[in-house]
Amino acid sequence: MRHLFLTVLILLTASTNVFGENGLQADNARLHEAPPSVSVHAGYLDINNPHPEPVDLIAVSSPVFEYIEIHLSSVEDGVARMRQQKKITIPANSSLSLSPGEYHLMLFNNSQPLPAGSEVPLELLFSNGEIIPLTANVIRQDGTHEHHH
Amino acid sequence: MLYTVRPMNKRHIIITLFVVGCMALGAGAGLYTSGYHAGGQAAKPEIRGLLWPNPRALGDFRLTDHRGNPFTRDDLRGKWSLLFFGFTHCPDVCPTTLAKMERIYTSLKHENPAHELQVLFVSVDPDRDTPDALSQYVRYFNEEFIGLGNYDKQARGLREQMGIVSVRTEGSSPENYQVDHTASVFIVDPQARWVVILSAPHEVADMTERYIAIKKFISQQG
Repeated sequence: MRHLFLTVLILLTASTNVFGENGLQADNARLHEAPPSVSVHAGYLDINNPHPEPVDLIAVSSPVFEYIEIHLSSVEDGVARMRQQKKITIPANSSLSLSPGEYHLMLFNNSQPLPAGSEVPLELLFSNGEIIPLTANVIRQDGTHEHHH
Repeated sequence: MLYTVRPMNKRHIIITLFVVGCMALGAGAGLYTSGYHAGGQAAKPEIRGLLWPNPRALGDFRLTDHRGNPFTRDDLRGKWSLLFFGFTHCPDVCPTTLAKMERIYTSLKHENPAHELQVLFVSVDPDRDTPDALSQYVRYFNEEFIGLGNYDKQARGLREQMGIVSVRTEGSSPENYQVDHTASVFIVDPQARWVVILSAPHEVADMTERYIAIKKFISQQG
């Protein structure tokens, strides 16, 4: 019995370490390669919030872009709209995907060419003070339905 | 007693279910085929977005293509056209839709290289979408796509007669304004008639199937 107890305790400790101390996680970050005449890129990623309270993504920065905004696309009455957002709320104990046609990042005026295969450093800032640095891969979109990993 | 199912009853239930299932399938198949044949060839097939029996004949218009050449109603004749309205500074919805149209175009052309089909991207933002910007933009998706703009305010456009919505909205700076715009893809037949509205959200397989079904149906009408 004591053995089982110990094993469970070790497993619990191990899993806490795997998920990190900060709690918030972000992955699957990618930018769509832009056509040659375009200096604005769309970016997507997945965020997981294991905290028991909601957390907002409030800013994103990158040394490669002049500025980055958060936007929401929607289709209402057959009309495509895009609106800048002050934040994206990730509900408690939930994951949220920024994905085409929904929430996404708009990245303006890249300082260097970004062909597919490039890597772009990003930094995410959250309302609880957590900062997540991560790397986004530039990919060429091919019209297939996107799957999240 | 009511709730016990004896072996005999169980078998009966299975047979009954099987028979009922067959009848449902038969009825379904009957309905399906009658949808296509009842009332002769002109019966409207059950295809979402099909404007039939009243396709909209397009009137004259004059746009400029990304090579700087005029593009008029005559350029729609003799081939099928997929039209999408958008603008090059739209980073999410427009490239996603064009990438899907590229997949549709390539698969249809792969199946039949003689297939007369053109993909038209009509700008709702002629101020920023110069022919050169349009050229780089559409050719990124496919060398054969055609970008169109209305640069001559006197010329009769296509947007007006198709009821395309385009509303400029403020961005965080004057130069990065956005344009709300109709998100549908339109199919125009070789007689320059607008025959189908494919509403968003767009899925490649669904759009391709509907296009093929519509092309077959319209071609049968002669």
